[in-house]
This record gives sequence, structure tokens and C-alpha cells, in this order.
Amino acid sequence: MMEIRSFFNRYTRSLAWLWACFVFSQGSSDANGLDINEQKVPRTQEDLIAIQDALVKNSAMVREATVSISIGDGFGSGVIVSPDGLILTAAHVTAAVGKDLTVILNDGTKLKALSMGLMADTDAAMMRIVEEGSYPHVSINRKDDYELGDWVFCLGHSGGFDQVRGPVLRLGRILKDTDTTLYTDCKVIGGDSGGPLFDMNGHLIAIHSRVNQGVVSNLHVPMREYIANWEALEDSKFLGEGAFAQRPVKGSGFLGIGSSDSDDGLRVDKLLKDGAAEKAGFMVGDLIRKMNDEPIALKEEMVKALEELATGDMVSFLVIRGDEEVSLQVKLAEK
Amino acid sequence: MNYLLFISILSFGCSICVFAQTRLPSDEMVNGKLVSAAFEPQREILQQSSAVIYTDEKSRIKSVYGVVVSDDGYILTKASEIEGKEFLSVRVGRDLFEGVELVEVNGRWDLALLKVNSDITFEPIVFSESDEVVRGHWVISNGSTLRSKRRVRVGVISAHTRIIHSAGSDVVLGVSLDDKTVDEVKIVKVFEDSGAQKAGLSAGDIIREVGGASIANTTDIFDSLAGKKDGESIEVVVLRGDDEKTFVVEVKSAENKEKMVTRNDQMSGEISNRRDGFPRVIDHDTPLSNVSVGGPLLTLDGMCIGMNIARASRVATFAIPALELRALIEEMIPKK
Repeated sequence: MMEIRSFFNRYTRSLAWLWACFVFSQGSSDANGLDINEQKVPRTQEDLIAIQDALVKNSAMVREATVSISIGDGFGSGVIVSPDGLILTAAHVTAAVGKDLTVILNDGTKLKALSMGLMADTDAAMMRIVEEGSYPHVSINRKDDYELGDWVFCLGHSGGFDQVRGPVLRLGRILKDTDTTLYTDCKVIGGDSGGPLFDMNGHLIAIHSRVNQGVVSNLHVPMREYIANWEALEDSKFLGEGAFAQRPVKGSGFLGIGSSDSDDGLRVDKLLKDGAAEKAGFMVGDLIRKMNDEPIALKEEMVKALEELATGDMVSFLVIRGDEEVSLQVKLAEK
Repeated sequence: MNYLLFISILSFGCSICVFAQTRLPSDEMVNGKLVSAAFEPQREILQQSSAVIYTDEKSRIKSVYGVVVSDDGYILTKASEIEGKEFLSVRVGRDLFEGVELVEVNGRWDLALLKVNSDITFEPIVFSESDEVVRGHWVISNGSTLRSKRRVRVGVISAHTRIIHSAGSDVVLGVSLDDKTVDEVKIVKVFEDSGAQKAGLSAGDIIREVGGASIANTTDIFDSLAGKKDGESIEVVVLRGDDEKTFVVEVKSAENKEKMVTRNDQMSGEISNRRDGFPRVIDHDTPLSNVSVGGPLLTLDGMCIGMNIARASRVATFAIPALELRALIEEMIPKK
């Protein structure tokens, strides 16, 4: 009897201790160095003012780095993370590797940009401004120390770029973290995709991805996903199978030339007006010698090589024009 | 045996801990009960100075909220949510008032002024002296309501205060227009039996003003027509040759009135029908709905910086700024 009772006491004490540890570890998180995340909920006017002050100060700091991205008929958002214009955004915004995009700064300035790598399964993507300049940028929270209940704020060009309005600011808390997705009650909408989610120090912690039913169910891709795949993103790799981007389809690339085998080799007879080849500088009469460093002697060899390539792929050609060797870079169009 | 029982209780206990913490409890969300409790001082102001507007016979179903603007019972609310309704009653604090009169409507701003017939002295809202609106500041609005108790919904100022152009208008002048020349809108054709034809407008006229507002493009015309109803009149000033001429045009209902529902609208929950065509609005992220606009917009200091006029989308609620509201109230309250 005695033995069981002391056993019981030891275990309830352990359980109590376990609860205590747990409660204290939630409470005393020095997550972002701010008191506001240490409280379960704000209680006083002072608590509310602390949140407000942090929000006003940090949102002003990062606003200029929140950009709008023009994608054909639609818009997305992104955030500049380096002074020379590296941008983090969502995979379903860039939708492809090596794609030409336009970035719009808050003052309306339009800049040329190029998409880099993406993760088709988690919706992470990277791109960069190709025009030289020194751009407003944000710091990334690399500590992965954000927790449930942390106060966060989001910026984005909701519904598309609106210069008079500016990027839209919203406040929320982290509701759930499933490793590749952060859930918050910071409401986002079409046009916000790819835009930034910040902690209350103004450091980047996630990128907006999508919403679920209900105004408070907003999903973002956490920085840990970008950090884990940084090199691949920088190397413009298309990673993962998923809903957020479609892999380029082999054989979908279109050159836009009419050619035929002649005694002098593969000759360009015709050029499609405004086609990929014409835009790259091909001329009627050019004799094609090499494609992506592989020698080409016959038309069927070029056709076979093109079957491996997709819309948007860059192809280098070496042609003979009169007495000269000319190098050409072609970006394949859509069939 | 008991040893195993204790181990299983322990593990079960632990797994409850882990399970409970995979999602933030809803009470702790930005608009959860526990966070709302911190806004009690502002809630008390809404308790006294906001109104619940009913348009059903039994005064049970809230149509929209309102703002108490005078101590003798003038209340401001959103006109398009109450117009044409048979019953109108108002609750302020715990008290229900059935003697309510619609005094005046301003279509441009979608405002309606109501008067409660009662001997009670009301506590009107106190407007902020300053027109300053700071992005990131907390704002407090009416949330849901009990019969006796008003509740809050909170958010922050999201973007610059600005004009919201009309997406299209419910009424037309009856002309087709050419605005390809910069800053100039010319009448190309005047339609048969239209208000424009009856008033005397002609093809070739350059439209200079509509409803007192100067016109540079067709968007300006839509903005001027916002809130106008079938049969109402509007002044149109045109340049004909070298002369400026003024005409009074009776507007008519537009034929294709269906507003396009965008994909963003679909993600937005219950948005207001009239949510555009406002000369100036404050933009905040408070998650209201079409039936919870109409009340005051307060800041932490308890001052009223505006009146919620439209739930525009999933991410935006619009409010008329106090600066314009003060002038509109002055205009709308009948002079003694």
C-alpha cells in the first residue's frame, strides 16, 4: 500500500513538473526579444500600445521593400531581401524558371526581373531584379524561433498595384505551424501572393501563399523552407512536384524558322515574323552549325534536339553568315 | 498492474499537452474573446454611442449599426442597408426605440440620418479633433451584439486614406462617351428617350462638370453618379463650341446592373453591396461583414475617427473620415 502511494506521489509530481516546464517554456519565450510575445494576450492599454508602437515602427521600415509583381494579366507580390535586388516570392507567382517579369516599386517605378528557382510543392520561389541599382531590402529571420501566438504583420499589394493606396498592412498572430506552412489570422487575398510576413522586429518570417475557407485561415511559406533550399533557388532549379508550378513540357518550345538541308548544311529559308529566332537575330540564309554546343549537320538532328526542349528554354546557336561565324541566343516561344 | 496504469495516464496526459498546443486557441486570436477583453474602455463607448438598426417587425435581426451623433437622438447609418424597408427600429445601450424617423439621405456618401423620438438624453460619439490617420494604429468597431451588450471587433489601419472610384454606376445619363483625349470627355452619341436627350445635351458636347465635380475622364462621371437613383436629377456643365452651358439631367437605371463578382469577392465572405464610389475613406483590416458596418470607428484613445461605411473585401473595411462626417452631419441635421 505504502509503496503504491509513494509511487503515485512521485508520478503526479513529475506530471505537475512536466506541465510547469511546458507552461513556462511557452511563457518565457524570448522569441523575438519583445515582451509582447511573452504574454498570452494583451491585458492593458499599455500592452496594446506596445503592439501598436512595434507595428507602426517596423511596418514603416519594410514597406518600401514590398513590391508588386506584374504577371501577364494578373499581379502578385514579393519582397526584396538584398541591396542588389534578390526577391523572395511564391512559386505560383513566378510559375516557371528563367521567366521575364516586371517588378513595381511603391513609387510606380517598373523594373525588369528574372525568375530563379522554385519549389512546386511548397510554393517557395526566388527571383531577382536585373537592372542595376541599390534597392530597399529587409532582413530575414534565420533563427526559426517563431511560435504559436507570436504577433506578426503582413504587407502586400492586395488586388493589384495601387500607387495611391500603397501596400496593405494587416496584423495577426501565428495560429499553426506545420513545418512547410504557417497559418495566421493576417488576412490575405489575390494579389498578396508572394508578399512578406514579418515578426514584430520587422524581420521576414514567411511568404504569403494561399487561403482556406474563412477569413481567418491564411497560409504562408515559412523562411525555413527558403533557407533549406537556398542554393537550389539561387541556381534556378525547378524542385518538387506540386500544384504551385507546372514543369515545363518537353517539345513545347518553338523556334519559328523554316529550314532545309542543302549542300552547304542546314539553311534558314524563312523566319516567322516576331518569332523566337527572328527576335534573337537569325537571318534568312544563315547556315546552322551548332546548337547548345552540339554539332548540327542535318535538319532531323535539330528537330530531335528541339523535342527535348520547352517553352522559355534558352538555346545557343552557332551559324555561318557569309564569311563569319555568328553566335545567337534564342529563348524558345510557345508552340 | 498499477504501474502500467500510471504510465498510461502519464503518456495520455503528455499527448493532451502536445495536441492542445498544435493550434492557437481561438480565444487568443486577434479577434478572440481574451484579446477583445483588453478593449473594454472602447467597448463602453460603443455601448453608449453606437446604435443597432433593425428592419424586421420584431426588432430581432440586425441590419446594420449606426452612430449616435446628438444628445437628442440623431443617428447616422448606412443608407443602402435600410432604404425602402417597412420597419425601422433602433437599440442604443439596452433600450429599444420604435419611434424612428428617416430624416435625410446623402446618396453620394451612402449616409442616412435617423431621428429617435424619445425624452432620453443620448451620449453622442466624440469625434477626433485631428484628421491624422496612422497606418498600424489599432481601430475598434462594433462586432457582434447581444440584446443588452455591444461587442468589439478590432483591427489596424491598413493603407492611405483615399478616394474609392466607382466600379460602375447604377444609373446613367444616356450618352456614349469618348475619353481618348487626355483630360477631356466628349459626348459621341445621345440616346433616344434618355435623360440626356430630354435635357438637351448634344453629340460633340465636352463634359466639364457633373454634380458639381470637374470631369477629366469617365471614372469621374461614374464617381459623380454614385448613390444616385432612378429619376433623380443631376447638373451637367458642358462646353459647346466656345460656350459653357448647364443642363439638368434626370438619370435612369442602367440596363446591365449586375456587378461583376471577382475571384477576390468570392474569397471575401459577406461584403457590402455599395462598397465603392466614395470621395474619401479610411482603410482598415477589421473583419466586419455587410451587417456589422455603420458604427463608429474608434482609436485606442476612445476618439471616433470615422464611421464604417462598407465591407469592401476580405482584407478591407472602409470608413468615412471624421473630417467629412462632421460637415455632413451639420448639413443633414434640419435647422431649427
